[in-house]
Amino acid sequence: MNYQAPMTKAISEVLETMFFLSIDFEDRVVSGHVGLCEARIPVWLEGGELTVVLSVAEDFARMAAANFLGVDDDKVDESEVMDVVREMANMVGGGFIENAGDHGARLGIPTFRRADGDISENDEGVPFSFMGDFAGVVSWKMSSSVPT
Amino acid sequence: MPYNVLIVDDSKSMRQVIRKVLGLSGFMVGDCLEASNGQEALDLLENNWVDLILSDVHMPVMDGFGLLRALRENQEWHDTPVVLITTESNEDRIQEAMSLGAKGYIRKPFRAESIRMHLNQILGVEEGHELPGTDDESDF
Repeated sequence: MNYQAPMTKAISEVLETMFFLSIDFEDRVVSGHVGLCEARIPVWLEGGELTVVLSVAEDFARMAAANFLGVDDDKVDESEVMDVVREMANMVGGGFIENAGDHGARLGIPTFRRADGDISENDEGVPFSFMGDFAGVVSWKMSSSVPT
Repeated sequence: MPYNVLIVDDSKSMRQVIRKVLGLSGFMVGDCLEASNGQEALDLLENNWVDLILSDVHMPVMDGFGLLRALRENQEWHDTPVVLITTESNEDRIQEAMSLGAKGYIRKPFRAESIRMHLNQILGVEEGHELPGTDDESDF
């Protein structure tokens, strides 16, 4: 199944509705070194488990958290950034299921980690930018396991 | 009449946003309590009265379904309206929640307007009786 279109729609819908951020989708991630906030969420589909990974640039994560909470960027603390990125992944995962039309799918609970590393080109994902700068990427990986 | 509301969500940020949306929606909110999962919600209900519960579904410790089951079995709380605010879109699961007593569900991401409309309907508040300044189309 092609996950690109339902995922792209979900990202756009979540970021615009809850975070008031209008992003641009990119054809591919430009390689580079960036501090990332990463949330992973399992999605159990009919064919197995899909792990959806939302990786957003540190600055973008802070701005999204501030918009979400309705406060200035400098009033957002680390735990709020972490919580908001997890919730963003949760909503993107939910939107993806809805858009994919898999009404039997189930969503797990997102986990967060901070990653400071190199971004590499990723064909299996949806990269996006904000005001011309890299903002984040949503990628996914299918595992063969099925829910019990 | 002010409504005492209990917001149940494992995301503290989401609880803050829902609280804010409620305020902007024109509801007379009395006490607004927060819990991070179903069990915490039940603990709070031992010593507090609420008129409305807004709950997430996917939560650790006790999820929204566990909370609905526990409330249904409780004489004091089984009639309290519960509205799910969730990313859940599995139709079977939504039906299951309704059969467990949920009065409605609002899908995340949401707009303030959809929360106002749902709650008006569930609480029997007539449209147009909200507080002034709440009829815009803004998200929050």
